[in-house]
Amino acid sequence: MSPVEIGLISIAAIIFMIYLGVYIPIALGVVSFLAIWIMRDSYELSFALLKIAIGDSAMEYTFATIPLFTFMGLIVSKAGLGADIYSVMNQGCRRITGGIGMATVGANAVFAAVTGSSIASASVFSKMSVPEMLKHDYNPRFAVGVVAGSSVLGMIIPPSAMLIIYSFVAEQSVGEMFLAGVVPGLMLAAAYVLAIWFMGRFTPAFVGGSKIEPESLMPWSEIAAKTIPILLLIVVVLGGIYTGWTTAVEAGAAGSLLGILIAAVRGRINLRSFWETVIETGHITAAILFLITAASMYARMLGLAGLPNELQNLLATVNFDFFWIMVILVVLMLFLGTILDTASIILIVVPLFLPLIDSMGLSLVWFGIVAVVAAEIGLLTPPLGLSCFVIKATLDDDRIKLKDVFLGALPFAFVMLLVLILLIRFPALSLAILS
Amino acid sequence: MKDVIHKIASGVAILANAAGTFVVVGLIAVVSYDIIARGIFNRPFLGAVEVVQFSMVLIVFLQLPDVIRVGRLTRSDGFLGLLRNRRPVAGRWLSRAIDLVSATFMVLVAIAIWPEFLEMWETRDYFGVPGVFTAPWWPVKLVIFLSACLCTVHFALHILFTKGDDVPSQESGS
Repeated sequence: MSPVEIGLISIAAIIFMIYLGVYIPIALGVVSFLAIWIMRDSYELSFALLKIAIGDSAMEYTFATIPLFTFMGLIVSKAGLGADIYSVMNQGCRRITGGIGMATVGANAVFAAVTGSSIASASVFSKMSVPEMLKHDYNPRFAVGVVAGSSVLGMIIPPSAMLIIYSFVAEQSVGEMFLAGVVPGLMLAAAYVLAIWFMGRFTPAFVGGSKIEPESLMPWSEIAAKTIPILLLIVVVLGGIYTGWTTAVEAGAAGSLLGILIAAVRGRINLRSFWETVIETGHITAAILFLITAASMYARMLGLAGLPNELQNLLATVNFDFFWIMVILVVLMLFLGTILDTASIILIVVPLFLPLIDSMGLSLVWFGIVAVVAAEIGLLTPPLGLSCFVIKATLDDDRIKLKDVFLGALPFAFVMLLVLILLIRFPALSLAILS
Repeated sequence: MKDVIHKIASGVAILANAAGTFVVVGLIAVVSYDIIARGIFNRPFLGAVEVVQFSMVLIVFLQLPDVIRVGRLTRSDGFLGLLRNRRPVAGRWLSRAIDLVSATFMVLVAIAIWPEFLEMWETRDYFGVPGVFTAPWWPVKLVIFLSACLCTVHFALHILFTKGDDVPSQESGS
């Protein structure tokens, strides 16, 4: 067997094992270990690469962004910042059909700027926004669909765990990836709001909703108290990175510290819940970094097999142009999105395409945004739409079936695909902010 | 006997997890201190980068055994869940086979890292910038080795104590 064949069989074996339910990092590690052994006919290189992958991956300085931003996201959720921004947005949108939906999207976009995870957004907003929409006679499918769709913003609007993971795989700066994510994230949020407006206008039955009685409105002082903390956090984190005053790691630490202060001032945290938050942070960090460690071994295996170069030659001989390469990439990611989680998709697919994208003279920062958005669509599509599972689990309401969540999320997955096409067609949308 | 091992292994994992948790708090403190010291008093903390690197290793490998203990390692369990419902016996065996493969992998990690530890222990090699801030390599390698051993034990315990109703949750931050 040639190395390329071994490489291809390995990818198939990894996907099969993951489908069976093998832990993803274990599948990546074991198959890569065996593949290198077979290719070299000796286990020495396998052990050497395993040693490097395990020993060195975790030592990467920029990975400190993962625990720091995870912690910041968890602590601001505990501090109730998501609920605050949601109630303010809700008041602003109260007169429009589908207004609570738009408020959910808007609040998610703002909340996304202080959390790095779609899961955090999905669980916070399904507890708040779905009951509120059901109370006002919204269609349950629409209600859960909005929350699922907008939870994806958490991963695109910085800080985002996926952008950090990509920046490691592609050796790009975390700060630049974060800045590149700002415009696409806001664009997606705007596209969602527009889509809700269209649905309210043309398919009111899908949206539902009754007129909201004008309740007592919040005074300006309350609105200020509810928005200023979150805006302050955004300014400190993104402002610090944008002006170059802090690195991404330092911005994460500053944000965490500020998050603790806000939660403490509001009396929303005690020693016990603080401890739980930190333990949660540690668990998430360990799981993500172990995955990255195994994936770095996989990337080395691919390189040894010569697979990325082979793919490049293949696409060159059949004269595939930019358009078709992008079609292949997006279809591949959508397919994998049905069985894998976002981080695994990025770690498995990106190393295959990097040399190709690089040799075509395309920006790797732009490619990162495209890859993350494409992989995120998988969060909304069955059978493994993680955001949808979280919403179903958090709601714990027998009236809403998993099928309803998926069907409700479908229009939003479609909007995402349209935005993805725009992002591919116009790289400046991602890159303009950097220059 | 099995229960005793189970209790000890769980206890060690929880302790390691708590230690790792303190490191997370330390990480926030060190980086924040560096920003304030540098930004306001113009006196940066010189070892910040090395301390951050070192704490990342500690966080990951101190917490990993506990992640495995509570079954939160990243996996896609759609098929496994279906199998458990329809054919509980087959599901249990598949689940055991998966944990066996996982335990084997952690043994490989331990074997790979052990000689590295011995070498660093003897040579007293260090990382960082000499004269500014340095830290020895050997504790890093030792933590990884011990963590891999403990992970192996927990995967082995999963094999012995498969209940079939423990549906692990996905956790990769996505």
